[in-house]
Amino acid sequence: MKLKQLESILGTLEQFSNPKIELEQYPTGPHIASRMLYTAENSFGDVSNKVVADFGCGCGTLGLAAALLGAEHVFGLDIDPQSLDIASVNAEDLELDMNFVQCDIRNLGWRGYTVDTVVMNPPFGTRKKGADMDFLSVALKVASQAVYSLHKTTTRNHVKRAALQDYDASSAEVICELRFDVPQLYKFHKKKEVDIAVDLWRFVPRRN
Amino acid sequence: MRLLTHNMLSSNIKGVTNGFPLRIEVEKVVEKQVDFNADFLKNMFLKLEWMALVGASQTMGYDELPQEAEPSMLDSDHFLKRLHHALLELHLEEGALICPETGLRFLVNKGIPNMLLHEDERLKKRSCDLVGYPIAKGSFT
Repeated sequence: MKLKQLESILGTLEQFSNPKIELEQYPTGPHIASRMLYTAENSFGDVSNKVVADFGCGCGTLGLAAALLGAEHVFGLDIDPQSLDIASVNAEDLELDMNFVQCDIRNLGWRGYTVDTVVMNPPFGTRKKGADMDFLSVALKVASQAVYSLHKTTTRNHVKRAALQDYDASSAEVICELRFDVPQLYKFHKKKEVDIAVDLWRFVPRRN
Repeated sequence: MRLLTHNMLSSNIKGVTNGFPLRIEVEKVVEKQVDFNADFLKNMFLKLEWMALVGASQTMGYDELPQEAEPSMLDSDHFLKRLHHALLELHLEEGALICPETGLRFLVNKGIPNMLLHEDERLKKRSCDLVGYPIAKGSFT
């Protein structure tokens, strides 16, 4: 599948109708989601025929992108039941198969190394400090092959140090810098739309 | 919820040391056909907890898996077809997963397990901590 085709399919997905600020629910736009999964597949072979988990899947954009690129099985994990409902509908609309689990990523009971690749657009931790790093720490315990994640560019040094030293990643590389556009979703948003610089990271867990 | 998912999930309740496998309480099972992929099954076999899969599939009404399995069986199409069916085609649509240590229940609705512990379940856990023994099996069913 071509990048443009992937992006346009992801553009048809339904997004949060009532986003919850305490969960930092911001939709992963089709532009960024398509590039993230396309790179994971075409530069690293981390998607097709793999077991992929989407942490904090929200409406399922990243997980469904993985399924579109030929992932063998996709897990979608989220704490919010409304998001999982939307994600299920999105999966049905695309006739794709996703395994959903409602859970708190920070308190996840997950056994073994079945999941090859974790993809996620974690809460950036602007509301709950360190939320993105909590997600990363768990992702590096669950994935056997690679973790793809987005983090604010301003936190680059911190993310690298934590991944390598605290979470025992064997590598942590910024693949590219992207603009994450934040639409005016919440009342406290003063501007119509802003975009923030985010890094697309690829982490490799130690077992590999 | 597929048994593939069941084979990965364990109880995440604080203080629980052996939260796997979760017991299954069945209300409704559905079967959905999916494409057969022998390579995927061969690869996945090595990562499975076999006894947990056998027990879970029996609870779901499927008795065709052997009690013991070894990698040499992966050459048999007959075996792979059964593994495929148990692991990927049986879905727990409605029911519950039960923590083997505390007996606390995680509900499965519309095929989605909810691993969040609800406040009333937390209270039960606390009261059983106070008396100092785990809640007996099935005491809340």
